[in-house]
Amino acid sequence: MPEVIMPKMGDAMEEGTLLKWLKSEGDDVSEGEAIAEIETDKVTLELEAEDSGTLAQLIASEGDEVPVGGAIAFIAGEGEDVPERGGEAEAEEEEGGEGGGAQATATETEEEESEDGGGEAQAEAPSGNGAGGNGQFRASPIVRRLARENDLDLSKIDGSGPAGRIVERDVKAAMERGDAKADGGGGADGQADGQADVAAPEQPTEGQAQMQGFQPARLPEPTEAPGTQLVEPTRMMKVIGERMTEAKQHVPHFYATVEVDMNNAMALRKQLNAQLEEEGIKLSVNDFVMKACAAALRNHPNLNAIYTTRGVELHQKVDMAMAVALDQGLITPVIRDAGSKGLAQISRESKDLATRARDGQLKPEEYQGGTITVSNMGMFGIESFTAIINPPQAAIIAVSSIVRRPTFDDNGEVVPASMMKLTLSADHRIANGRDGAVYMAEVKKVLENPVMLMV
Amino acid sequence: MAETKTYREALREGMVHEMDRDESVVLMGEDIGVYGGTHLITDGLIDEYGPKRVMDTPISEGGFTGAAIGMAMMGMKPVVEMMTWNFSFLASDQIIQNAAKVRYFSGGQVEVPLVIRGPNGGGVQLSAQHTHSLENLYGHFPGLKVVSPVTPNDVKGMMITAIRDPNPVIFLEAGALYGTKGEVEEGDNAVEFGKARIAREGSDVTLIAYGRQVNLCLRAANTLEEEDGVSAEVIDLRSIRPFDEDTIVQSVEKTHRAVTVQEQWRWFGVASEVAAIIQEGAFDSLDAPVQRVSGAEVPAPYARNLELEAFPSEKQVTNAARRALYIEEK
Amino acid sequence: MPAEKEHSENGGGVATSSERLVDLYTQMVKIRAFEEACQKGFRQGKIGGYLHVYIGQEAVATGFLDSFKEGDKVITAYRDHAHALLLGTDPKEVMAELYGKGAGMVKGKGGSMHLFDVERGLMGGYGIVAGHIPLGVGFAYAMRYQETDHITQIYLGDGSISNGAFHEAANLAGLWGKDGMCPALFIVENNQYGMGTSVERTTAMTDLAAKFDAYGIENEKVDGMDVEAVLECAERLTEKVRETGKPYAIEALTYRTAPHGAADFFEKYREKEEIEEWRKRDPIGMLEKKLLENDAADEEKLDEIRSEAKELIAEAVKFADESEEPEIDELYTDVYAGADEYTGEE
Repeated sequence: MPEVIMPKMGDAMEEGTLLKWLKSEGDDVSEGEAIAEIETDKVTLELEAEDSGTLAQLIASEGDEVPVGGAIAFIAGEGEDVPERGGEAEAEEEEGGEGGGAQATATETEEEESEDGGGEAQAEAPSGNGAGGNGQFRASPIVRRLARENDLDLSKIDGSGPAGRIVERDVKAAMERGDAKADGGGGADGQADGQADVAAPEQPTEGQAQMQGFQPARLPEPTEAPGTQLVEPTRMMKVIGERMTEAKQHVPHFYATVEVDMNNAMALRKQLNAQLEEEGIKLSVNDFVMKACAAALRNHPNLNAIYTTRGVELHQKVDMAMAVALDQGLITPVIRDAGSKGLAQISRESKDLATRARDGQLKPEEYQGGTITVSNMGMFGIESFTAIINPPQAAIIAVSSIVRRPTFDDNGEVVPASMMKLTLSADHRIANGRDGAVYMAEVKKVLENPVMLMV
Repeated sequence: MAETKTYREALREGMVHEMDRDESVVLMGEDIGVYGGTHLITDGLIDEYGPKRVMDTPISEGGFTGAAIGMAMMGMKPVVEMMTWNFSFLASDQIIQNAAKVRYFSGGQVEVPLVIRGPNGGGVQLSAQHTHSLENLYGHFPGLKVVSPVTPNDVKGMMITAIRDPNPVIFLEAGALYGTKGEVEEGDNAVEFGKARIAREGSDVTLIAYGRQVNLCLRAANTLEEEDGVSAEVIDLRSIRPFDEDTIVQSVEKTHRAVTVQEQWRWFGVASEVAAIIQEGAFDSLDAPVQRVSGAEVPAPYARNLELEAFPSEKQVTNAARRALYIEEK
Repeated sequence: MPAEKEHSENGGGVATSSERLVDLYTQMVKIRAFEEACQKGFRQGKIGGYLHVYIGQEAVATGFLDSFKEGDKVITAYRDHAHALLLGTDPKEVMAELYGKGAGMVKGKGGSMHLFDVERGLMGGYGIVAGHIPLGVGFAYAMRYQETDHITQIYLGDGSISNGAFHEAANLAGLWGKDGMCPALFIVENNQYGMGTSVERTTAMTDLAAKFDAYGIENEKVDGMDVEAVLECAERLTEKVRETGKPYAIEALTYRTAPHGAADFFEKYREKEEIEEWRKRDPIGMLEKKLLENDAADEEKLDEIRSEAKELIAEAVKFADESEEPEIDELYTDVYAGADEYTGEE
């Protein structure tokens, strides 16, 4: 069944335009006869039939652009029929559409990733002040290598090269003097003892809250003695270690603890769970705590923030992270806009995130970002604890276990109560003590009057 | 056994060595026979080997280079002279489009065991049209081999290797060095391609060059030793394609600093390639950026003083080394 | 209309055996069928790059290569499919090359313009107009240097005559020919157009054969559409070249009824009428007439030949279509020869 195709009439030709049909459907055509006029980007010319027969079907219309190789007509030999063509063309269109869609999604994902990129921990090379004093290190490659190999702190070495570049002879001289070691201990002279942070290259200057590299303190080599076993850290453990170290060094933590009477919350929980059992939802204490913490932020928005290179960035939505323990570490998936979500939804999401977190199936956008974290160790019988902030978040709330304890009611009578301690760790650059205290008081109030969660 | 010979004599010796061994080796070029060659390289050879093996050609670089390629494809081993490499542009279609590629686009069915040789580089007041140094130009093309020997021993040894090589070899002689002397091994002293030569060992900075700039670097190294107490290593690239990356990288890993010197212009020159190789292979050993010393970005002038200014000088080389060492330039 | 050309006094009318003529016809039909299949393949996007077909010129190569002897060499520019087929390369391998497949005659690494079959004497296949001519002269020189009695057939187009490489090569040929060191036959395929420009518009002196006088090379003209005339010339001249070791030149006046290359649109530089006129002098058509008139073959026989050719070429197309592309590793082979193959790979 001879198909008449748009011919390739030039090396770079990709499509041509069917200008005019010179024959009509049903006409007889003979080999070599001109049947149409085609236009390419260079020239207009006549298309000759390559076979004889009847021009059975005109597929392309005048004015159509047809890709090279595309069918424009059929010439039927004697007794032949024209096959179905429509289906193929449609399928092509669909594919094209999907392709476009897939691309669009990819772009969005990229954008989101770059937005959330700040939340990722990266081990970067030390970017100290150097001798240049502008926050940029100038050092030749061999200098960096020598620093790595010999555990040197380049911020302690003056550069004699152009623009303060530290060059080999500077390092060699420093090594001879012995005053450039990263730990600053031993025979160092004139070391500022105010530097309690043993491993820090230097403090970030105002407005710089950059992630610093993990500088090991003066650590011993493994003893490899009998009865010992060396556990090399996994990548996750390394990253967590780096982040926690960084948080401890650079974030000025302060703490505030409240003790919450959970009687009312527990009762409401029981009541709601009875209703929700049909739907397969079971609210947990943690769901209540998360909801309460999110709700309380409405009146204390300055704690719903992150700390950036240029200062505090307040967020309207509460993206609440929840700590999930894993075999080899910890991960904090985020419930987006927790303030607008009801208990049931929070419960659903938190369970789903936790399950997938343990299975290692979280997507990056699900564990990046977040302004505040809730970490619950209540299931271990921990009476109270303090948690380490996840930089750059403003705060983290440590949720301890519920303990049955005697308290006094309004009449001075001893009554049993279910008491639970919540401890806030907050970044003093973002909120001060009073802010933290008032916030926690509100959380306590909400939890002790859980109907407030409805408004 | 070695003897002191001039570059010119050594070059002739290399060709003669192979002509004696292999009947299919013939010489072709303008005025190489009866006239004895404009640089007297082939002086007397026509009497020994006859006009069929020492062929005088008309002034048709494209024509006779193409014919030589055809002969090579038939199994002969022509050694074609470019009276100077500046005339090779007339033959460049044949060299680039045929010699370099015909093995490839014939699917390996043919070989081109051809040598094209001649004086390359400037420095003798021949002005703009007669003063090119073409290592980077021909070095660019896969399918060609390109060499640039500096010492008399190397020119003989590399000529022997070139004639034996079944590929087209661009043999760039240092025209300004034809009269220089050096120890040359007797007999078959074939020097392999793809190996650079360490002309002087040192520990503080590596000077890399090819052609007559190698001698310039040796002089600069002496000066650096005397005046600055600096120990410079000098590398003679001598083989441009194939190129010896390892020797350069190892040297810079030792010295941590490099200066590369080229006669021709800075843009897209051999020194650019050297610098790239060093930063790729010896990045963590570098104490300073790789310094490039190149010819002035102008067509070569005639006047003696201008010409000296137009090409790399000892002062430029030593100061480049000093920059890399962060010591004061002089 | 191109100027009237003189035809060689040796043209036509030679008594050639019927068998031989039928054989020549078969060859030409095969070439024609092959080239038409190539055009189709190009339009379908199966053949890429440039495509230069020999349609209309079949008699020239067919006639001259009939006198090819083993050990001879042939070199031409890029309109080289016919030469490959005539020298005996399997059409499957030729088509596979055009289709860019690994089974192609140069492993898919050359394409239409670079056909080589060195064992059978075809030394390429070159893309630069006139660039191949000096190579051919070199082949010829080597043949005498190596003391053989082989000769080189150098095919060149009318457009190449204006190029410096032709001048230099022809001069060398004439020069070396004086010592009997250049057994080369220059076959000028004058199809009267260098791509889109007629000979009149590019050449100060349009008698192409006569140009060889300037190099001391004896020359003739022949009607390139008449295969018998070409045959006679070929036999006589190749013999002469072989005997004397001197170069000779023959200008074969021919016409390509197809465009220069697949991207050529001939409405621009020549009239449709002109092409029609030349189609009447189509070499295959003319030979058909002769065969029928002389009872060398009947319609049935001719039909048989035509369909066999069609079938042969259809098989070649099928083979090419179904063959695999070259292995990716082939990218790096054949750059250099010898034991220390420098592959160029990082």
